[in-house]
Amino acid sequence: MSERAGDDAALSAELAALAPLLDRISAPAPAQALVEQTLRLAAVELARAPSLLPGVGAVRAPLPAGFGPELARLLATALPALALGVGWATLVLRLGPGWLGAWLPADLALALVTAQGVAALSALGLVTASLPLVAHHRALLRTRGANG
Amino acid sequence: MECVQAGDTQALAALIDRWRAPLYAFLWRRAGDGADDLFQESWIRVSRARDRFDRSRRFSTWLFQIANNLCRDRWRRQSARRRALDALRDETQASGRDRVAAPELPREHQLERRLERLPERLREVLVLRYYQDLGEAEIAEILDIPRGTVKSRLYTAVRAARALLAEDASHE
Repeated sequence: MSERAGDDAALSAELAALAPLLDRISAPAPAQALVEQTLRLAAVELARAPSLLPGVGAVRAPLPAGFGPELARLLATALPALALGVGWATLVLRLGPGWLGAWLPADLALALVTAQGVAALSALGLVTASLPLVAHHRALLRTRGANG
Repeated sequence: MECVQAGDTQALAALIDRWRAPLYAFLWRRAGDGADDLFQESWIRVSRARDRFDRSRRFSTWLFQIANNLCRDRWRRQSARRRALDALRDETQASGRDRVAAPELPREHQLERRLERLPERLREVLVLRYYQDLGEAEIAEILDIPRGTVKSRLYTAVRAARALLAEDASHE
């Protein structure tokens, strides 16, 4: 038993101390007939189309074709609107207390403006963060459409 | 594995040959007599699900993950059967009928049976770490659990195995 970088050294030492007992449990090698039969059965499966199975580690699905251009298209559309949104939120935050202060108590005006700013920035953040997801979905739909 | 994914039988034979001993040893330590069936089933699944193999991962991790999941399924089925047998035995004892004594196992199998008394989640980490010589990170990936959990299970497994095996040594 070897020790790898990052493995717990104390644990490896404990296992090494247990080795004389653990080593007494030896495992046999597979019979040649079993290996040959396994190869025959597995080769039959290899000739068939691959299929999904429970208990087989899921592969990380590759990005659908056209994801990059789709994301770029979405960003190109969204960025000017985002810039406008950020500009508007900044304007409200800077000038809002002054405007509202004429009609409302100063603290209430400040609280309202802060709430408005936080809400606007959160919404903008949410929209921006969801763009890759939307791009992925649109690219998938496009691929499926192309494949009939 | 790339060639196997393309349907190359020779590559599959080479892969089986490369991993036959470690995989069989793993299955034998996890499932005892059921190792033959699980060995076949593991390779059938590798062939059938070849497209799901992620080439950025190690093949051994994927293979042992498949094998370990098969062992878990078998263990679950056996647990249900064992519970049914226990219930039947209790019923037999309650009705006053004679119990049938279990046959005496050969000496080399007694140690192995003791390890079988380890809970499943402890036995799998112990076998993967000690006998398969895998690192904690790879075990975590195979079992799909955090690395810290692997470590804590290993500590518990070592303590439990020491107690079980020492019990055997004291009988000698």
